[in-house]
Amino acid sequence: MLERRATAPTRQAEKPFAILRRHYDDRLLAARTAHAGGRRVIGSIGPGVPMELAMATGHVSVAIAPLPGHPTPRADRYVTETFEPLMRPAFDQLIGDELSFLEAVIVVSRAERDALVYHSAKEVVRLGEGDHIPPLHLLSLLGHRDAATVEYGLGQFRLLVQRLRAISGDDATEAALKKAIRSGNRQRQLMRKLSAARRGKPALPGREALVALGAAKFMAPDDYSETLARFVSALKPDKTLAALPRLLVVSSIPLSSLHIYETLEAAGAVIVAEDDWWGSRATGPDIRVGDDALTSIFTHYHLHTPNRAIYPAAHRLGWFFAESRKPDIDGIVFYLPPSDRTLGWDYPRMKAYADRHGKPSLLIRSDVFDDTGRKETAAAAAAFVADVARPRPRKRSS
Amino acid sequence: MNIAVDRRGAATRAQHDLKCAAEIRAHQKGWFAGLRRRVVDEGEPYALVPAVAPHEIFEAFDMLYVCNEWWSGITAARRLSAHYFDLLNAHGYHRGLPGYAALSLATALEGDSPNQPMGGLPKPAFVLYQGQEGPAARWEGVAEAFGCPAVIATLNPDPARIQHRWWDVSKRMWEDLYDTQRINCVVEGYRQVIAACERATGRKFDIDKLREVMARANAQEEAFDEVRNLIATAPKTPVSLADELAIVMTIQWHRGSQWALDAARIYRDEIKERVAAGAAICPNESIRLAWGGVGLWQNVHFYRAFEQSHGAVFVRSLYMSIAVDGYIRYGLRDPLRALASRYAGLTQEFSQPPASTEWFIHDARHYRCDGAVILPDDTKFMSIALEKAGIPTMVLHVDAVDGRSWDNDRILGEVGDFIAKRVVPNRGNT
Repeated sequence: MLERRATAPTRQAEKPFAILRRHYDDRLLAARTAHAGGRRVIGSIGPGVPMELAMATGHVSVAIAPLPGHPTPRADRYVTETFEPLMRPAFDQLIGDELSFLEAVIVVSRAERDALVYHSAKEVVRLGEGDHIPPLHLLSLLGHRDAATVEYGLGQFRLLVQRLRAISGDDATEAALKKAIRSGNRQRQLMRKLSAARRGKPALPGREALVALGAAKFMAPDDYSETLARFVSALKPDKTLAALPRLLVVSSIPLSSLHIYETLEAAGAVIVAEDDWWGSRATGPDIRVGDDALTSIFTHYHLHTPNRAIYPAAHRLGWFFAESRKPDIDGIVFYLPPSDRTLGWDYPRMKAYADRHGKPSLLIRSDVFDDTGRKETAAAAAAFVADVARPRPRKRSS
Repeated sequence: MNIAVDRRGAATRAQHDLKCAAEIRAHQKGWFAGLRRRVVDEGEPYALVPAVAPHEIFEAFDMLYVCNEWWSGITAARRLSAHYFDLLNAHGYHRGLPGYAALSLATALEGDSPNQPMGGLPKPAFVLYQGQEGPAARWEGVAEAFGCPAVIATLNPDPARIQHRWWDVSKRMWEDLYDTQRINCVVEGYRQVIAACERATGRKFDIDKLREVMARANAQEEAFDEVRNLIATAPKTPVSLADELAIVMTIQWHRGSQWALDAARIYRDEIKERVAAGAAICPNESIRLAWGGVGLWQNVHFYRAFEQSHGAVFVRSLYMSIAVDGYIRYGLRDPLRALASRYAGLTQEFSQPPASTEWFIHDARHYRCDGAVILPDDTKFMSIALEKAGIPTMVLHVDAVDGRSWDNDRILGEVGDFIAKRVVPNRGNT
């Protein structure tokens, strides 16, 4: 043991991307380490679980999002083939004993289907077959922007704070919340810096960016920020990437793995942005601290968490409308595998918008998690990238 | 020019046994013709609304409205769904999207066409849509295709409250059953519906009138409750599920009107007479089946396909039972709040276990069902629960409205095998 310690690189000496990649691949590493060190750890499922509330009440928070593409025998007992494909491994992990050390798992719901993993796990408990499942908390939010919805959402945040305080005994004081906001904002600033380094003259391929941004969900915020700061400081435009077509990706499933990116970038493109909370939309702006820190945190998550269920289209698709037309986007890939039941209703509108702004686009309906789908995707991507790379008359964006 | 439309799907027609079925069907046809005339010729406003929406508000305004799911059912029953789903695909909406409530989008995209059912939907004053996952985008598409505004009002039900045996308390203790804050949000949303109705009609909202409408809706569902008990306890089933679906849903789409209340009572009285006279749709009935999921609108005759061959009748669907158990709201001091409480829980109650599973088991036992045939879902909890309760269950893989998914031989063969191999040997054990 001592020998291993002596030969292992210190954290400072280890290359920052290697640290990020290790946490991206071993998604419970930080959680297990924190637990072994006596820290209280909570899990989260879904976009927009406020890490600041976890931090302020003395918890380490990690996302429950196992890498897909592995068998899910426990989930298979209870769910069918139409269950959300990336929720399936999360559900499988949740009902096993791997997560039993967590103090609680927070599931965020903004639309009916978001809550399915929560209800399914609850039902397994009710059936007497889920003794290992950690306590579950549903953070139920609504997509409206009116006063009643804001009041409701803020109430839900207060309930979550109370639940977390009941677990740890640590009160989320104003000072603790503000400290957590500062920590979270530092992380946001670095992540935005990373996202900016992808645009214009890209400094890194999309698959590396996805790893670096995604690792935030599995590391303690300060550890992550320290590592990401070292990684970002070394970034500079990469000449080999400068010649490649720059793509924006819109996916109906969360981009929590690299499958689609590896396939697309192998075709000779670089992905510079994605309409997804695992990538370009992971942060939003800083939290602006007002008179009440909890209200500030809620307002940030309410306004800036990407949400396919939000309405109207101007809100739901606002990011896509703003980013997809920019000159440093050469093409758009819409990834709508067979599991899609939501984004497809917006696809014609988004495609028409891309067409109007002279942006070529590719629709992929194959499933990259199976061999046939991956081959189909690779072939379609190769043809598309070749087409995008071909010199064409410039169209003006209106 | 009248271009012959491509009709696909099950070609059989339902057989009707009840006098009131024909009358109610004729009323609905006349009502829609009248609506079209009033909207197209006289410029009266109407709203296109989802099934899970506060229709009572429109009724209180005397404002015309059309239920979107009814439109899907009509389009499917006329074997036009395949044509319209192909049209959606041609507009870029992929085939994997849930199509159950999407046929209004397809017919709106097609525009004026002589092929549309009953002359087609005229342009609404506005569409009302639900804020839950994909349908928001779909409803926005409908509004754009018609060139009318979209009003967002129906919020999701409360996902945090999944109640065991909710139907025991929901009618009177709704304020205790559901989250008060959630009900507040739904009420706020309904104020926006009211404002939209006021803009469209030029009339002011009258809460006393809403109370009267709600009271009539309660009385209508009470009549349905009597029907449910009559069917459940009758020695042999007096009405086919095909007839019941058409009757109950037509009445539900006019919920709270005097016509709906009268029609529900006429239906109840005819069922009472039939039970007293020993009338049975299947004299050799020996098996009772429950249906789970939305109605098989593309072929309701399916529900009668096993009477002669197996003595099997379908007696239970969610439509009658949710009308009785999920819609009634007593305590109408604040009718808007009572109405909001219904939608603070409704879809969870028939879709999320244990609310959905325990309710189905309770209902199936009340109807003395020997087995259940259910549509596919994302989870297996319904099958697990029903089988655990001793009710043999089959998942039937077919789309409720998409005629392209109908394979008559496969479907009848699978269900026939299920009845013979699973239900018959288990009979008497449920």
